[in-house]
Amino acid sequence: MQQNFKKPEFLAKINQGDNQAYLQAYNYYLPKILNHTYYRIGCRQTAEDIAQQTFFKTWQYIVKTESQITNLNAFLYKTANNLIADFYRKAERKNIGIDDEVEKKLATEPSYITEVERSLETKKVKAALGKLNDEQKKLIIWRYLDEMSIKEISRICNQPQNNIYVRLHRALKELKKIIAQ
Amino acid sequence: MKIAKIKRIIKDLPKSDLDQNWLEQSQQSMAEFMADNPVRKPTVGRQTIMEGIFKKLILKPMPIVIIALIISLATGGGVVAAAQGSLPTDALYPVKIATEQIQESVTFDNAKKIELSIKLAEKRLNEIKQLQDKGEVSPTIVEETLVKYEKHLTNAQSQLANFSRDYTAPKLITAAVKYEDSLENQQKELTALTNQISVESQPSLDKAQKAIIANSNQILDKIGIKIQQTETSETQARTGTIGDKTEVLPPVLMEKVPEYIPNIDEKTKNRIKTAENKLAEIRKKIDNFAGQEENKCELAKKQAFLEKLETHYQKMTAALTEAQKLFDQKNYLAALNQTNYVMVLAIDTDNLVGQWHRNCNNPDNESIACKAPSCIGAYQTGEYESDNCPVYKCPNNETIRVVTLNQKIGLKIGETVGVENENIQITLNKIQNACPSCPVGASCSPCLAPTAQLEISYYPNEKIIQSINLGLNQSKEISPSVYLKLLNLNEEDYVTLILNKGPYGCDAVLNCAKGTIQRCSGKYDGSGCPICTCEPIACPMLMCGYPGGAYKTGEFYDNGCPIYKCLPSTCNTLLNCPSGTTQLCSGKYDGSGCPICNCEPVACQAPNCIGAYKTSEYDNSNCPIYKCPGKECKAVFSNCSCAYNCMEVIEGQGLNDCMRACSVNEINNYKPNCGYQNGVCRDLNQTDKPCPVAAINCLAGFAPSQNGNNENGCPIWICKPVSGVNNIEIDESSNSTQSSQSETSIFEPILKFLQLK
Repeated sequence: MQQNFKKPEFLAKINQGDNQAYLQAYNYYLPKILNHTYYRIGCRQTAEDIAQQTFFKTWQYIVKTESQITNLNAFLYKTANNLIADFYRKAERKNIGIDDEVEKKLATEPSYITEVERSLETKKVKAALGKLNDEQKKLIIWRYLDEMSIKEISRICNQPQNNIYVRLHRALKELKKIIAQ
Repeated sequence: MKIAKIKRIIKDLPKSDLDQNWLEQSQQSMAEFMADNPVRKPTVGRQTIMEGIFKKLILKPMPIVIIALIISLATGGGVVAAAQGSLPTDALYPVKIATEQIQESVTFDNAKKIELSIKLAEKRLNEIKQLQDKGEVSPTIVEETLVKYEKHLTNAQSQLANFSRDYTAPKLITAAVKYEDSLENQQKELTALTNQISVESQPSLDKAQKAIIANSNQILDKIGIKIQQTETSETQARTGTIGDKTEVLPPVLMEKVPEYIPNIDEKTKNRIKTAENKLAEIRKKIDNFAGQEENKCELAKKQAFLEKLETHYQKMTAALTEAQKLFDQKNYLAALNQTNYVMVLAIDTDNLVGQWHRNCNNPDNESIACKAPSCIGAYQTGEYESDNCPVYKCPNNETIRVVTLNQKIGLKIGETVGVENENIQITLNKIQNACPSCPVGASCSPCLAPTAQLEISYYPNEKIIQSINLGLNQSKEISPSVYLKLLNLNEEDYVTLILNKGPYGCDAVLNCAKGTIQRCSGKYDGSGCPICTCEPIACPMLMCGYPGGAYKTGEFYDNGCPIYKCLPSTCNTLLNCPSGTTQLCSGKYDGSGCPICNCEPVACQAPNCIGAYKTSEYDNSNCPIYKCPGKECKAVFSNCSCAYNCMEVIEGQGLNDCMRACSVNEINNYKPNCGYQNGVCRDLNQTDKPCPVAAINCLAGFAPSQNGNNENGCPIWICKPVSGVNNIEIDESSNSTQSSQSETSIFEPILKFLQLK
């Protein structure tokens, strides 16, 4: 399905300002962006705001500039990334853990109650993830949660792919270390 | 836990529940937003999208032709195939040239590069021939094509120069000889063309002929030098010359030449034969000329002219005799040089005759532009040339070429030109081409950009001499408001310069920082100063045999590009630094050439509030955790809610919430009595409603707004999008409808707001 959103015809429509096309993309990408933001920030409400705002801003970009978006996925993530960065700058800098509300909800999910062991491990990983600094967290989330390619990540961060590899590797090691503690 | 498992877990992390209500409403608000901000762009078809994408990929100067070429390649390449046989007059010719350029840029092997250049040069000659057969030659087309032809020759020369660093002498010499052979062939072809083509194209054909000969001399030189170097391991370069002087190789080396070039004797014999034929040809021409009846020109002038021709002929004969002598002495390279000289003289003789005819056919001899004197301070002697032009004499018997401003000047090494009316003389001393010495087989840092070393003297005060170095496109002021700029640099012996007058106050030379070079756009601003900027130099990257192997040495070339070196592949370049530290390399290297790097502690973040103090704890990067000093709880007016709220604020800090003004009917002047209760900062007058009040940080483009109350009657704050510059008028009446809605449909008010607009 994602392949459709990468096709040049679709991108052409998006850049044209085709409402229908944009809403299609919106429906498809919003959950991903929301998810990503949520794991980065930890606060449900803010995540929703940011996710929404990502799409507003992207739309404004299409309206106002002549430049074309060549990769919608990357563009959305980049915008979301910037908004998250803004958020962090304004708020006091602290790592916000994933909040309790979701923990509660998840704990009552049937699939997790039956596999107690798995949920324990998942909790560990989640907690550890929360302890990483944002730089490392976002790399891991992008790569393994959002399943983005290194190329796309390097585009968002404006860094060479080698750098991304190295940093991702280090982030994973760090995560592993925290989990082991 | 293993990393693979961690990855899997992360992948399977629950996607947070998407509340369907929220989703619907957010979709709705998105739709509204889009409707309010429509896109006004003309419909673009697929083609222009592609062009748009390509324009991003392709640098601006590339012509549309390249885009068309790439598109055609993408669609099947029929265009490219069709273009291959095209001639300069055909529409597809640019495509052919573009294909060739691409071919050139993707050929990396030096030997192949030279072959390609030679092939392309021959193609150009072929094209002219074909045009001639069709009868479609115009002098402009011939000229343009020959210019391209000459460029290919020059390319091959410089490729040979590059070649010499990578390969051994025998290989180089073989390639050089091959090149020289091809030059011979091309000369024959060109001669054949000359006889067929119209008179107007003559000058460009002569120019091409001379270019061939010049290239041939250069190559012969190189071969001689190379042989000398190899045999005697001398690194000093001799400069060969054409003309009267002959460089004689020491006898020892003369014997070696045939070892390097197997058929050199045969080749030289053939060349001498060609030269003999040429000599005979010229003889005939001169005899013809002498026997012609000239009605328009005076006989006396013709006599003087004939004498000139005879002098040339004698020079040719002498050169040919010398060539034969050298051949007998087995000094083949020098013999070839002499044959080249014969050919040059032949061209000049031809030119003279042609010039004579042109002058003679001009009824009004007086109006011919006479040659300007060739030196500064020249004076007329009172005598006249055969073309009625006055004879000038130079004060110190030098013949220096005179140039003017705003004219391209070509200079050879050792050559001097004088600037008309400015009393300036410019001499090209040498061209510095700084290539680091590179042992065979090593991959080395690239060469520095060549610079031209020039000497400026100010006639008549010969004592004052200024020495300047110019890099490509660099301009320097050599005299008040006279600027000299280096346009082009032929690495061997030739530069192109231009002189401009600059109005006072122009920064003709920018002092560009390291890593940038001055480039002038060729345009001028309002005060007549050239518009130049410092552009970053594309610095060459060093390719080592394995990834990650190149490192910066920390030193820089003159042009600001960093010097790279290759690491030995055994170095442990990537340390895995523990958390709290990061890899920093000292810039020094150990005994085996590996960089010395350590894990250094990461610079810790400074606290971000006034009066912060360290706690005894440390975070993940081993940086101390700071805590901000206590805040006080007081009533602060918020532009978000347009009311007083009890908030925790840091002493002395203001509240930066919303950037909007409150309208009069919004303002709520009730001032709460703020204090701490149960650790929460709140209005103490309303103790029965324990509401925590906190300022909400909304993102840019969103503004906080109260979205009803929760079950305790406490206000719920949410962020609403702000569309445009207009003030949002918070609809107070929406509060009354909130209580019936569930907590999660937070975008309902936005919806309402948008509908109400």
